[in-house]
Amino acid sequence: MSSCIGATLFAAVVVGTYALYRLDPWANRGNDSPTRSALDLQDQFSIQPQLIHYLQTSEIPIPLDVVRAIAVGLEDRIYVAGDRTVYRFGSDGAGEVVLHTDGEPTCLAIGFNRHVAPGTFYVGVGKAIEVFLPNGEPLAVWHGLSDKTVLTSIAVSENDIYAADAGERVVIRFNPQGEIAGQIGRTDPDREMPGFILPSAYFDVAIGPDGELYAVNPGARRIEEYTSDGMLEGFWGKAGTAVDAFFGCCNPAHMAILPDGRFVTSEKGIPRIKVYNGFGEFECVVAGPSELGVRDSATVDARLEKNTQVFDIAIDSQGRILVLDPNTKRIRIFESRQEK
Amino acid sequence: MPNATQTKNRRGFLGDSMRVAGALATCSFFGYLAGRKGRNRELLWQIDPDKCMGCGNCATHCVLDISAVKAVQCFPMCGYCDICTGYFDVGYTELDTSAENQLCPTSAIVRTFIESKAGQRFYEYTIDPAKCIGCAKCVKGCALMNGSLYMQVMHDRCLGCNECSIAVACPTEAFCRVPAEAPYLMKRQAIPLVKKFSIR
Repeated sequence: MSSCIGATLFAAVVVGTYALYRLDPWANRGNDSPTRSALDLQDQFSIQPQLIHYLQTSEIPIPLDVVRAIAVGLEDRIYVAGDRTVYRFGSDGAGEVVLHTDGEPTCLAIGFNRHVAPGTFYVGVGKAIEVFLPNGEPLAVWHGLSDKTVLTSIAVSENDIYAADAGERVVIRFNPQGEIAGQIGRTDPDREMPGFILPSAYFDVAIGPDGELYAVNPGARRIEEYTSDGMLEGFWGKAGTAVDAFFGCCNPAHMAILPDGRFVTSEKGIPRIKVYNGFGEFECVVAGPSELGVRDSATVDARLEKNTQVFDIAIDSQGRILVLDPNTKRIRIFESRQEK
Repeated sequence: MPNATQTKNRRGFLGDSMRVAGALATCSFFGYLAGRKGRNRELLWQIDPDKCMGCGNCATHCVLDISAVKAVQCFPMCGYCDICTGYFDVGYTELDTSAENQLCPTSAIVRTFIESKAGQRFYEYTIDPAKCIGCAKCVKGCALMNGSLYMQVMHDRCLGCNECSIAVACPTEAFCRVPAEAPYLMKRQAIPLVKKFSIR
């Protein structure tokens, strides 16, 4: 009898222990659905080392809370727009505030040697362009843009200033007096102008070595060349995930042009900076995600503030590629491995 | 000789009555306010989209076999892109609706052609809630570009457990209680865009 009671108690303990460990009355272990929701970006993040022809040679910390744009001015001085200032860095990396803006700057350009006003600062702030003398004194504020204006980039040629307006989806040409001299890129079937496709507020312009205007058409994943009066001369670029193509819905986010006419592009989403020759053929990679300090785990976090921010780029007269890293608030300087 | 109570006149009596009535009305008013404030409001579970990292726990930790959490599309934030990183797998080979090119494991995103403009084709992406399992793959893919897709608890499915097992498992404490009158949340970034579109 006692053995029967003992066996019953033993069985009860066994069943109780099993229930305790096996059953999940509060569903703490979930509903047994397969956990296959990982976003695998490994293939896109790993770039073959032989494709990377550049090397980061130095970096400069930026003492600003928010960094927005980078540009190179006279004597290869580096300028960064952020907070409500423009900051200047010398060749030794020492920095100083050059000027204060009325609001948060979004883009920046500086008149080069052959520009009608060398050293003049053109800073996009809200719906206006603030113009400053080379010593940082305010000169003028160019208004006259629309309520929808979102200034994302400024480029200067010898006689004109071009501002990319992502809100209106056009490039606006200003004369040196600040008057609007024309609009480039507005959809016009009669002139075979397809227009710019901007799914997000990334819209960059740059001036080529011969004064030609290049604009990124990110929704079309291509770079387009325009005459100063707004005629589309040509375009190049293809969409895809391969290293020689532009990834996702809207890339490249930024563009710069080397002194020899080659293009440098910076992509968002999967951050990679690449070089294309003057015909738009892929040449090499400057930096991939790992060189820019971005791990693939960072891109699988959907939170806005955790997203990898986009890297603006500028180029100095020696062909060095200056990358504005908003994640670490540093300027990363890349040089060709061959020249090193 | 008349006593003190007998000397009270009609005016004094009416004044006392008014004071008593005023005191009663004031007490009733504040009692009503106190009762109203203390009344329980119906609260529902919801995901704060600005805190959600898209970890995928919503798919696996809901007490329902198929989670009550689904992806939703915020159209004012969407770029209507031809190559949507929330729809296509990053390793796509063709821009078509074949399963191997889709990011969603259950084909819960419907891709509909809208128009062709400036040489580009534009598509609308909508979520089929019956197919969505709440894995958040599309949310992470979309976050690479515009971030218009995000997760929400669907209240036609949610059982309203006192202790939500997804909330316990949520690594970013994105689960919160919201009043039943406003049961869904938007991204902060979307609010001005939605207002702008509403005005139009």
